[in-house]
Amino acid sequence: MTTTLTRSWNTEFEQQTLNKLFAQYTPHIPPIREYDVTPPNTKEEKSNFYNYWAVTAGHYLFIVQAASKAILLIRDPDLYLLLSRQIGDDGTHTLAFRERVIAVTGRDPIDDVCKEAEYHWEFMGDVPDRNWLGFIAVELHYKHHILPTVVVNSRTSKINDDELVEKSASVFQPDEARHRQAIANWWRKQYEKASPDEKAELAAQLLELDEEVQQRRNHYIKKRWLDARRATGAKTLGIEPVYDAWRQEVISYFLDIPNPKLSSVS
Amino acid sequence: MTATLTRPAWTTDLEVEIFDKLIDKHAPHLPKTRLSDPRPPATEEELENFCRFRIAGAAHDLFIVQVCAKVIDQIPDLELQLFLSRQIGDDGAHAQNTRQRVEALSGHDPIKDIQKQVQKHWDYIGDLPIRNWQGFLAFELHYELHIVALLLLNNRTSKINDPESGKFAKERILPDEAFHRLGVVDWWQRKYDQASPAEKAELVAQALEADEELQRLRNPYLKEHWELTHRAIGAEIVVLPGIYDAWRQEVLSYFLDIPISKLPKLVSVND
Repeated sequence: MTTTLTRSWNTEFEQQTLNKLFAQYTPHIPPIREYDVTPPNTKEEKSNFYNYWAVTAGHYLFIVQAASKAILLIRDPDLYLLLSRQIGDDGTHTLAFRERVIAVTGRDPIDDVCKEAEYHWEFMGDVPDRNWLGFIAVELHYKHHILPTVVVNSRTSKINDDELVEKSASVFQPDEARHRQAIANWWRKQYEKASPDEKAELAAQLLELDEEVQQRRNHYIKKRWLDARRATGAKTLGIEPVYDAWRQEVISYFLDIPNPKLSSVS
Repeated sequence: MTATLTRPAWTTDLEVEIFDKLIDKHAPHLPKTRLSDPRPPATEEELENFCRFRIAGAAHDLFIVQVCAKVIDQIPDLELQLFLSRQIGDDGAHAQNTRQRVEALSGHDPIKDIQKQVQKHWDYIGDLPIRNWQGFLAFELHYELHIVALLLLNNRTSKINDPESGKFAKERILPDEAFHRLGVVDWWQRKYDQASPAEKAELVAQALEADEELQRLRNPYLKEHWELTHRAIGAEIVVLPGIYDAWRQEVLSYFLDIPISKLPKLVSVND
């Protein structure tokens, strides 16, 4: 519990790095939210709202399932404890999205949420439970690499549910920040203990898996950006370089590699 | 959730009502409420016993985390998956709090001892909780519902406790656990309601069989754990076997909707 890490992940690092990247690549994205959201009104807006948030709930359900499957791949009670918290939180998020979709549209999205989680299993294949590093790569993509997308959505969406916006700021995002921090610091603890040879091997394997997951997710990520624009009006256009650069920063932090060569989401 | 119940909903009030009835029958000399506040462990021996007891509690919680995580995607019921994700999160948080309290009291992180104790659960239980839904249901019944008799008795008769742990238990653990018990009842009720009359009888028979199997597997562990409970916090355990058996009968009678007089003779904790 009291291991001293040479680098420790925190929200300041996230904010400073992201603000720098947004300023560099997407100056049209403001550093804070500039206007209130309006609730979905027309039939089309409500239908988009239903689809977008049912899909978001499916994302959370998938990570609940993946983390549960992976929890016993690694015999480390520290990891059990931090993942148990993540699983509990993500289940709560899934439920929260489901409830708001019901409140706003009158339809229970439960079947679509399940279908979406199944869709993630289709494109992710066996990576989440192939081995413990596969699961870490999944965590990286679902918790860390996704951050610029989450930030852009939360700052720039125009059509949204007030309660979801409030909950996102007060519950979901602080939870997610804790998950990123917990998994990053857990990883660093393992990584810093390793011998130079082991480190090189771990780095090579994780890099390869992270790239594999990127390939598997490319199509989905681009569709999500498009859907966000359509459903909520979020300014996701042109976000690709921020995504790529942020992912480089994450990998660089995890593996102590200054400028890792990675494939692009584009 | 579903309103087909022909009996009162399972609530903490109902639990206390049933438990008091059993106390009247099996241990009328015991008080119905706590008579004096517990005190913190005082001697080194008391502290050591108390920490061992708490480590066993954390292991119970961490074992639940591991079982539920293994099961979550094997049962294609989204409501159950979401309920289990909450149970995993809660029980992980309870284990983490206990770990931190033991570290504060004893000066060392007990995580390795906790994991060792988790392994003892796996050793005695084998694959029963993760074998099929029957095994998992029996696991939930034993780890969340049958255990309530012990918890209520501890709550009324223990003499030693750590005030910080007591506060966390009252504010967080007790409400969480009550929610878990409801979640298990709801899951079973959904399953039961969807079955045809012939299937219903089969479901009940299978649930009962698995619950009995787990009772047999769990008996040595329970006896050992009760001894530790008595040593560490001074809780009453002499009357516990009789109360435990009767409580389990009540739970199964409610759960399976069979009057106690129609239940088969159950395995006893003394068997």
